[in-house]
Amino acid sequence: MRPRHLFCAISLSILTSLLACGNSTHKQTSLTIGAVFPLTGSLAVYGTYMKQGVELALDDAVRQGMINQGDVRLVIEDGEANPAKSVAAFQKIVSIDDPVAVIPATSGVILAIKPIANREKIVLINATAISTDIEDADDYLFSLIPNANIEGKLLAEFAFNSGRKRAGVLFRNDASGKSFMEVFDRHFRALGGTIVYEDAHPPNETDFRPYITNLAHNNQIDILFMPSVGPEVATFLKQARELGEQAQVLTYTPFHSPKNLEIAGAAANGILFSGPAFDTSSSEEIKDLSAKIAAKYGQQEINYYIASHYDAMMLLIIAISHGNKTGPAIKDYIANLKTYNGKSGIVTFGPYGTATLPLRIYTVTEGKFVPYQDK
Amino acid sequence: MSAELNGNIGFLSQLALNGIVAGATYGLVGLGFSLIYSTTRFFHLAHGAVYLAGAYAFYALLRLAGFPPLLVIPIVIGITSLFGMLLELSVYQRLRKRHATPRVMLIASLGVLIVTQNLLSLIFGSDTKVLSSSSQLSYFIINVRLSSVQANIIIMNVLLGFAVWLVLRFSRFGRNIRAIIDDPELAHIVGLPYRHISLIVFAFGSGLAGIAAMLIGSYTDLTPALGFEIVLMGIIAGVVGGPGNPIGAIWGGFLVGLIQHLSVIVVLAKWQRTIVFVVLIAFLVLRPQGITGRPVKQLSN
Repeated sequence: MRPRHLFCAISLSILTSLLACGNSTHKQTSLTIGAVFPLTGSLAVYGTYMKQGVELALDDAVRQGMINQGDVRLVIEDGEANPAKSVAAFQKIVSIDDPVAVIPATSGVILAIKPIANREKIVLINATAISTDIEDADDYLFSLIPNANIEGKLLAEFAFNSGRKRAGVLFRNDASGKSFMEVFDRHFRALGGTIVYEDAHPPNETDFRPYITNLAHNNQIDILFMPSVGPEVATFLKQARELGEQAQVLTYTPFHSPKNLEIAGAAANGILFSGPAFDTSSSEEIKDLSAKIAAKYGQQEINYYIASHYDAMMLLIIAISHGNKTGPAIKDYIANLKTYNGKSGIVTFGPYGTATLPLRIYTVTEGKFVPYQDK
Repeated sequence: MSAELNGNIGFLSQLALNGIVAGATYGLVGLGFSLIYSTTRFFHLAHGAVYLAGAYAFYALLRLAGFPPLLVIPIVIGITSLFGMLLELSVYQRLRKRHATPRVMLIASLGVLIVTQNLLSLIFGSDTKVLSSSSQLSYFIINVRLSSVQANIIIMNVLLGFAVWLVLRFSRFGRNIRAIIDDPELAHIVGLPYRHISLIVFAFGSGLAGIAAMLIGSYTDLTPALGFEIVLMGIIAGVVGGPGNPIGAIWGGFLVGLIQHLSVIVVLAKWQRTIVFVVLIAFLVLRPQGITGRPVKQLSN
């Protein structure tokens, strides 16, 4: 090799190394927030809402000058709401992107991810899962959603105080369904009510007819509490209507999606369900978020899952914008917060990362979600 | 008759009817699967992919494009038949040429199923697609409620089972299939055109999957993840009915559906899937030839 060629080669190599270093420096200044959502599978409709929420929060944070473009990278992986697949997705984010925080979804997934997150000192923000087993220690997990202890108690009190003394429980056989069943059962019995029917269905059940037939024959119930995801409750309602079963169904937040109205059709009318009391009609903040969703995704719908994941992402960005650049620093920042005023409402933090949020009962009237008015 | 007794009879009748309908859905899928399995001797798991293709084609043409049902039905049957033939020509016949074992064929068909599920997720999304927009009209007949879709499923199950039996029993094509089922090697020696027959079997079996997809999709709605579950129940119906006898899947489906639903009398409904697999294991161990098969006698040396 001639000396001139050698010089060129060495120069090129040094230049490439410098560029590589430059990239590496940029990588170090850019913090990663991960997300593991059910983008496919039976809960994909919720995963889409979650993704929209975190993306809009990042857009807003840059637009409002809280962070510069590129300061925070958002890496979203699909976990299908399956604990094993979600752990693999979480490990992938951890090994490749070195995140300071991750936003996971569903109780089973969070219970699987949490020990690894604590070991790796990665903050977890929970905006969907309600299992009472999640918030069990002063660790890296913080919730923005009340757990089943709060929502289950509210539902048990609502059922009993509305004059329904004999209840049945048909729950999704997973971490959140079991938590809800236990809490509802405990509070309803403590109030003086009787649980006359209890059964579980596997996740993603599509044929509820044996449950409905059994329920209709054996148990005279005033209300059926069904802590299952929205499409399952909607399918149950549709099949119950076909079999002539008219039991009053009571469920919780996941029912609040138009997809469930599409599945259940007219059978959804009259269902009762709990959910965060955030105002989708008059609040200026929610109107603003709705306009952004319509502009970015061409979607008219705004719901709790979009708002709560917007809040989860924004909370992390606020922590980062206050100079907290590591998992432990972000954890300390959030642990010192008493409340957080988000799009989904004013979240009050409790011990072990628990949260409370104003809740209310909703119903469906003429195919529309409306707050329940006691007659 | 006392009200209690009347109620109990109504309860049992409704459970039995639910079981018959569920069994008819298993039988509809199992019929096509068993026909292909009996002829080709490998587990064509991609039958679930063919089912999904039919169900989503039905959804797209009927609900999205707004085509009239009478036009959609033959198109869907055509699509699934073509899809089945395409799989046979492009995947299975090529593998057979390379002397692939049934295990390799099974893995390939599993791959096809997964690819199809993911493609449908990408195109249509993973959320539940509704084929019937509201609760189906149901009739109250002698203590039981029967919806129009349930009635259609039972009627089509019986008609299709009978049609397949007629084809297998009386047509030349059916005789060829039975010859291959009885002794594939001998059928080959006497010069039966195996490649040609297997191609037609795939078209026929996949067309049956298309009919099953339209009926069952209207009954339980749709998600891409249903492909594996539906083919699994079809396989169980086929095994219980008698492997090697396509019509056996109809009887197997009814037996499995009835046991599954009537089990609610003695155990909670959450155990019904476990019971289905207990039935499967019991048949595999105690009566591997299924309901309709004859025990194979062991030849002495």
